[in-house]
Amino acid sequence: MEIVRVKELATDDYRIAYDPDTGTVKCSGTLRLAGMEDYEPIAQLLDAAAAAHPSAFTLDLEQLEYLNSSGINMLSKFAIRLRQKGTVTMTLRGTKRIPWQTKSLKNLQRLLPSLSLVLD
Amino acid sequence: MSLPLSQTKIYGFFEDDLPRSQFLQLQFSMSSLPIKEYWRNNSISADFMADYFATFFPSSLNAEGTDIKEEVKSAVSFIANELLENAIKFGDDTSDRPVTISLQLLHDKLVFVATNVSRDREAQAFEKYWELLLASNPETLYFQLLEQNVESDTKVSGIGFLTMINDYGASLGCKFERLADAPDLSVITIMVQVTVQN
Repeated sequence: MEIVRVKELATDDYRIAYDPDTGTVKCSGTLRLAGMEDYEPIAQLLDAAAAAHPSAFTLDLEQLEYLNSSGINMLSKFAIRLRQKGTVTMTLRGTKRIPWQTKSLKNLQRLLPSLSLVLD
Repeated sequence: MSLPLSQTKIYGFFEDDLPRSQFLQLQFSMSSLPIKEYWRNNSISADFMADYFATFFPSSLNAEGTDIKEEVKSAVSFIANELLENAIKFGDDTSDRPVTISLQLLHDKLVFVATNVSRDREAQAFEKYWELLLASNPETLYFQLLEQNVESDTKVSGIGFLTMINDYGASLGCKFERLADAPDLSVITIMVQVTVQN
């Protein structure tokens, strides 16, 4: 199994945490970074974690309160990369409690048809 | 040599004569600090506007079973943040004119208006984007741009405005005004209208 080098990225505004036992990356807080360069470390963590758990990778956004369009772009590119590779089975967990998630997460399913979207 | 006339171009849904009521406007002077130093202020301002306007809405469930107050808060926060990010990223930091964002509640809609000054290169690129936006199905264009963005490392994703249209049901318009006394600068005014239940 590949080892994921960077397991957590955190600031005062957000926390991105990889759990190797469950094959889950959990994002919480506010993600409103300035552009793709700023999202690059997060994109790399997602790529590495997904590659380390290809049969069952989970992205948990249930505590991600705010996401800007650059963040949507970053997640979309990640989903497209997974579709192109075709080797990762991914579950995306969100919540109906946070309105942007009920509006925008379904778009990721169109980019990655194999995605399992769970909105609790 | 005579000064060039100011020219105005309008794209999309843009209303110049809306009544001014239940109105909040923030103005920001463009800073000489690197953008990274004050980037967080976009989010802070957007969330303030969201909290402010949420007070006008009841905390009750609408027909779809979602809380109206939370829906409004979320929409205002997202749209205001995107408008401010856009204004700061593409605004000219040598201009004396402030970046402004206003929000008002008319009887059935929220109307956002954001202005910034841009140099020719940015203004022309933005005009091209508006031409593309108005010539396209917004849902199709959204997914097209996302697929294109994977291949290239473009700085501008163009996804923010499409998200407003597709996911928030917003109507968008833009006015470009060339300044008579500064011909290489344009004032860009973006209007976003979202229908709300009151």
